[in-house]
Amino acid sequence: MREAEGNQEGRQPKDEFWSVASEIWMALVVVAFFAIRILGSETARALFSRWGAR
Amino acid sequence: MALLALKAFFALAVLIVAAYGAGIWIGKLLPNTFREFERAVFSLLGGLGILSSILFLVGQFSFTRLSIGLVLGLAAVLGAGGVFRWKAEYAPENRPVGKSSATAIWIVACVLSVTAVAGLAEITGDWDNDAVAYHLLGPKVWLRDGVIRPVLDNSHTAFPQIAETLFGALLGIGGTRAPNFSGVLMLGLLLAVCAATGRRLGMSERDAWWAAAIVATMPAVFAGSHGCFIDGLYAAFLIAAMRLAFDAQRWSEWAVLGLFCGFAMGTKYTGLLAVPILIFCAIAMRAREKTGWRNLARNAVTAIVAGGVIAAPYYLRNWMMLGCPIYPPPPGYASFCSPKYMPADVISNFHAYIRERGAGMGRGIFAFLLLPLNLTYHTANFHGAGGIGLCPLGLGPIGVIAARKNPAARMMLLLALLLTAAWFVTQQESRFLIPVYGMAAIFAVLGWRDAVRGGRFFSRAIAIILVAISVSYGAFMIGETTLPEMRTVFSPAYAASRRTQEIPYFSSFEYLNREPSVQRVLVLDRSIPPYYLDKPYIKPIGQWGERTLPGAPDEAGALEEARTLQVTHVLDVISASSPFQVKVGAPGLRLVFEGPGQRVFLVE
Repeated sequence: MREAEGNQEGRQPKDEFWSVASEIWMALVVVAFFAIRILGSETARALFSRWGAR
Repeated sequence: MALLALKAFFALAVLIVAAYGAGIWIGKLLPNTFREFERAVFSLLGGLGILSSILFLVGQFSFTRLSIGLVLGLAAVLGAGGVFRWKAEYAPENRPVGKSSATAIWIVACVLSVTAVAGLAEITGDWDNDAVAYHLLGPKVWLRDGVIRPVLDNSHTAFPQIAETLFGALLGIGGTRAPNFSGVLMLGLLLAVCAATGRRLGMSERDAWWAAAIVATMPAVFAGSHGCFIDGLYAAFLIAAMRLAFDAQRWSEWAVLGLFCGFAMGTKYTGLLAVPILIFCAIAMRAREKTGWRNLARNAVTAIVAGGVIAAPYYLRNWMMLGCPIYPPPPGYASFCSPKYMPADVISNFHAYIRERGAGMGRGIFAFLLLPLNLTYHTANFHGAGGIGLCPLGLGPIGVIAARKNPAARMMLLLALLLTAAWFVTQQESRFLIPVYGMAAIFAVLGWRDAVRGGRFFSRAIAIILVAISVSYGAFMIGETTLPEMRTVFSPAYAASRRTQEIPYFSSFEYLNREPSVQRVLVLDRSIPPYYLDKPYIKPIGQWGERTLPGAPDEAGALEEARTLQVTHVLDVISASSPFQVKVGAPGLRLVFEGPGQRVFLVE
């Protein structure tokens, strides 16, 4: 019974705005990950500084 | 190595069967919303707590291989019947797993396999490694002394000891590799409890596997669940208590909830903050039900009393033996206790260290609001061991909004927020927040399902990319950190070189452990980790500055009393904190071994 409640709750039809907002949020989190964790890493910084020196 | 691995495997198998036997009655008291699998998981987890509590109480009088074997043996007899019954009822062939969950199952299986293999590696490291400093030091000394007592030269051995008592039992019956190997059980139980909670919040079996996979690939969770760290077990107890709070109706169900709260408080001091918060959230969630305030209050008191009974032995023992129930004592201790063996300056230095280590990225309101971002992207500032992945930040908020009408999800959100706030103002150490990471992973999977529900291609694609990055980055970080450990399991040469490199003063320990004339060692530097010493020892000044001897002498004072203290050998080293303290040729001391920065003297 309780589980059935859990399955039903929050399952209203999705609207367009909510779908687009979710997509933008997820994309931002992914982009920020690449920007901060990958491009901002020590290795990347060292790589960029080498390119800059050239 | 094969023999060590076999012994570890055997000991863990015995512990699992015994824990199941000790907790089999818990499964029968759970609310009727629990499935058979959940009952087995909660029986096993609760059984670990019960078994450890019994071993701890028995260990106050005798903690030998015989007493451990008797307790485990009796419980294992009860457990064996239960395991066979459960196996017949819950045989895998009767429960086909959908193809769609194969990826998640594969991820969970890989992480658990890595945990098991890496867990067979020998624990090495210096006093910065908590396992060496105290998680394993206590159990090793208890077994040597045949009784459970705090080891005075490391005040952290007085922490609540549910996990450490289990390590001691494993060490006793399964040898040196068994405690580390048990990480696979602790992590596995945490994942199972998270999956069970996800199912309660409306997840399909496939999604529950994904919740487990996301938790498993959080490097911060992994770091707190293997290598004899106890945070994973603590989180499993706390999340199990929360899962029970969703559905507990009868007083017996609330009592079981209280047991799990007690196990959390008996595993880690942070449970003392977390449990009142959990009970508050449970009351807030259930207040709208028609059972009435009187009934709710009675149930809450039942849970608190049950939890208190379980946790009390750890705190009362400390109070009686060390002068303070929480030891090392927290700020403001002077008003309620007088700790022994720790002078006031040592305690204030310890508090300063905790404040500095737990500063994270600040304590203001702005820092609190930025926590989700900082925990995700700047994990090193929280000693985060590779972080928590992208799912909590990327999908968690969507899950929170999607499940906002579910009372259990609301309670979980409130609990997560309050636990995070308590963590934020106390010590911002990433692994202390593992219970919240588990809850965040559950919200993330709820969010993932909601995000793809509209059927839009971009939603599906970006969600899959996010989860794939999160899981693969986490798996990479876990693989990178465990690679050396796994290598030691398969390469004896590498294991030997790792021992010499990572065990401080290795050659002195080797000499002292193999030399039969060594009866009792005076350890002269507080940085020396006595975990590696197989003989009785005296360390006058402990790791945090504890004064362990009557009259609180320093090293020089203890050296003068060496004969009275029945010391046969003295270990003197050059460390970051001090040079050699004994001159070669000092009267009554003969140099018998010398290595780089280390000397052993015989007391004549």
